[in-house]
Amino acid sequence: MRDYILDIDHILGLISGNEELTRRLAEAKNDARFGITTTILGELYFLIRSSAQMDANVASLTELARDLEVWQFNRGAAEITGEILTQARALGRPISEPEAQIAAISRQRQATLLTSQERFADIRDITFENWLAPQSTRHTLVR
Amino acid sequence: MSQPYIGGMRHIHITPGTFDQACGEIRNLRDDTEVARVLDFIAKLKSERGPEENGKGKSKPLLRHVGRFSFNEGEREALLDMVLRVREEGTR
Repeated sequence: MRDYILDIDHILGLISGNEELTRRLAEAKNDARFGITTTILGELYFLIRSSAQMDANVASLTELARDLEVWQFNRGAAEITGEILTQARALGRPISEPEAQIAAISRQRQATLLTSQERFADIRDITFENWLAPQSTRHTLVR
Repeated sequence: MSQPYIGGMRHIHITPGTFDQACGEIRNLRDDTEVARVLDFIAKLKSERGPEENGKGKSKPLLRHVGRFSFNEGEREALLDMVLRVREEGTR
């Protein structure tokens, strides 16, 4: 069974019923575990709290979070985050700390990150796929 | 109150009940045959648990959340852009 981390764009794709994403989720559900990281959950609360119908959406997000694994940012992930930030800076393509934290948990859990953000392509030893696009490509960068 | 150590393991005092009784029974096992029987029984219990309880198998029902959120026209995309901008600001 494989673990998948849904980045914030995929969560919004799920909410809005993106056809490709819902098809892929339905196909994979018997052999997969889907989750988000605590960093993504924080971003989602920020997003939802900025929406016009905040109260209803906060309640819906709390319910959605119950149906997802929420993977914690722990000491091991913190160590990997530092490594990722250092490597990205050395490559001359710095990434933000939230991105490094998400990538770190993905690497730590050997989970596939579902995202449309190409910036993750610069981070080594993580696998990411875009399930919002009709033709998904699997990327793994190992140096 | 200090806790006694039994068989190299810490004995945790809890209110008497099923779990306490089961711990007592396990501590009183006399030989390897009885230990093996208990291990078989635990393995059987594990195999009878549902896939979700084992952390394996079916994922939780994510698709039921489709359409449960309320956004105004174009709001969802604007908010996603906002969050991704904030995420990228960390690089500056």
